[in-house]
Amino acid sequence: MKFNKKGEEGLMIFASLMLLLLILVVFGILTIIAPKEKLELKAQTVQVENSKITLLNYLRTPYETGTFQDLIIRWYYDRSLEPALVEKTKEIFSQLYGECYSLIIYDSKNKELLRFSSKKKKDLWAEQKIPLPVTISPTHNHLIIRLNPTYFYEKCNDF
Amino acid sequence: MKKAQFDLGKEWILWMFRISIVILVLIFLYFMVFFNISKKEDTGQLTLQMVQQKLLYSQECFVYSEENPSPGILDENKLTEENLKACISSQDYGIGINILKQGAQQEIINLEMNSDILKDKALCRYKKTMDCLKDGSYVLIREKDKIVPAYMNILLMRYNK
Repeated sequence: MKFNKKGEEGLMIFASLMLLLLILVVFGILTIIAPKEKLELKAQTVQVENSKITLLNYLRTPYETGTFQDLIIRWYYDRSLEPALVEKTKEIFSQLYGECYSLIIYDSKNKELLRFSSKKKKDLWAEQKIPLPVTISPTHNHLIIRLNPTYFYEKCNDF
Repeated sequence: MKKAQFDLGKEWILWMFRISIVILVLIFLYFMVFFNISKKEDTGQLTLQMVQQKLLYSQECFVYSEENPSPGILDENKLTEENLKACISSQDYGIGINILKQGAQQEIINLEMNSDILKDKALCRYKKTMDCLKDGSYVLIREKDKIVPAYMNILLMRYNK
């Protein structure tokens, strides 16, 4: 299909106008959306820091002659300690988060070893979005623990 | 002569068209930049979270410190209203802290700062008037010779100016 010179010129102007329009629309969308996302991310990061303190304190909580950190390591080699670990852990977190939390212990191959949660796995949407992994101890860095507290679950926010 | 006049008129219309597009683009860019500069971000929650972090992380507030501060471990002797006021030296924040110690004896510690702001708790429903943050943390309290687990509930409020 052949165009004469005027037709080519008109087509060029039309194409460049469309390109300009596209650039402006993309620019407009990015300008409106991007800053809001950044701010939400910052707010969420602060909340993550707060739950890290909770997790850290859980591991440092005295238990018998040691701490919960020691209990988890002992449980890894001796599963008869599981009832004590489960009971005490549920006692700590249920009072803080009610039923809206999950605490998972897994190994470096991502194999789930223990899970504390009263919610079904499909309801815990936050697990994929905001992981909070902490290694149990430098000597046992293949053991990882992850806490997803209440405020990551939209349905659990009561304020 | 007539052809030259026609060409000049055509060029003039073409330039007017081009200039008007440039003006439109400049107006668009101006509004996009102006929109971002003048847009007020809601930083209220973020500010309250920072205050909460200070309470849990700073040795100027409650955090136990021997050689280095231990974030998350609170010093029993620092859990006073005087210390809270010295640590958050601002009249803008209403702060209510409730600490429930675990162990053999369940002891409760209540600390308040700027109680008059805390009385307006009902305003927390209206984000335009009041920013509120209610959060709980599991903390450890360092007593003389032992560490006691506790739950620390914090209520932070600030009028949205």
